[in-house]
Amino acid sequence: MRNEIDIKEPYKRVILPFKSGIKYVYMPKLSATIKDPITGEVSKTAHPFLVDTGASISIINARFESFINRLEPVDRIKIQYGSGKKNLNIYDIIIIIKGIEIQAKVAYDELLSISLLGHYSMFENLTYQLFDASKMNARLIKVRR
Amino acid sequence: MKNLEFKKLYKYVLRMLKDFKEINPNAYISLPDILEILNYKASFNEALEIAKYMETRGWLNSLFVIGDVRLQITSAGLVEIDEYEEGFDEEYKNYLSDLTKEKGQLKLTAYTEPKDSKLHVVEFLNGISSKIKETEGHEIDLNKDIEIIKIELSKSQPNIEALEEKFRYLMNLQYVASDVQLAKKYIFQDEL
Repeated sequence: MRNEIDIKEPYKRVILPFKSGIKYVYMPKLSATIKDPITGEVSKTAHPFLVDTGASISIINARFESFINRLEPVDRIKIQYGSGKKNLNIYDIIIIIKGIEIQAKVAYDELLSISLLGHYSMFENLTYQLFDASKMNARLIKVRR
Repeated sequence: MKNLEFKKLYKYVLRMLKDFKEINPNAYISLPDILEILNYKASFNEALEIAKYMETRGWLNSLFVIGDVRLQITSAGLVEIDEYEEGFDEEYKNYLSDLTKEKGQLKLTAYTEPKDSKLHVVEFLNGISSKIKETEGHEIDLNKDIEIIKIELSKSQPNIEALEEKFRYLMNLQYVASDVQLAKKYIFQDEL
């Protein structure tokens, strides 16, 4: 039986600017866009998201600013980043990855350098997040019950 | 003839891929080639963004190969075309007809094997090499670096770190810096 959701993405290269010289690491990033669940309108651009199993909630950044500004926030949340805290608006959106739509609550942080996919209402609705460093790809799977 | 408007671009690209699927269902088509045929002026970087967006929507599969980005329509893409407004198909065919009058027969290459995309990058690197020779002379080591890049690229699995190291030296030449940046984009296709 085929999985209900099975998204496979190759790792993307990220630069690590060490003082001793530039190094590279390959990380699980994928392209996604967002949709307004009320109007059905879809953002006209796709942007990278880091598959971040350390993130409690998904966060989108300023690349989606013009689209997110048309939506009404449904809540607020205090997010802990490293050593600092921030209050962020929460939005109900649909995240589209390779044509697959996943409804999620996301925070919006205009200063975040890359958007993140996190656990709340995203990974918790999937069955597995698989990271294969030898094949350098990531898979998001929801098993059909 | 006017350039194609961006708001129509996704539809026309998808519609063209549908035509190709009917001819060869397994082939991939170069997006930069499609954009050129459709009279849409785009940088390679923009072509990457367009491909990523359309793939994100599930409309196509894309192959990001060195020097090119190639597309193949999916069944979700075919469904998307079915939902276009009435009259779209006629509008698309009229646009192609106008293009044919202007350009003659429209030709696109169907790819099933990614290796030939590297030729385009090699030609581009040769252009950079010529500029360096004109300015610095033939004996400069940087031209040898370009030869090393070309040899590394010819491997089935080029060493990306070795390539990056060679490009780092080339970036120091201001008069070819933008060309070198574009060559890097062709090869690494990193997100900005």
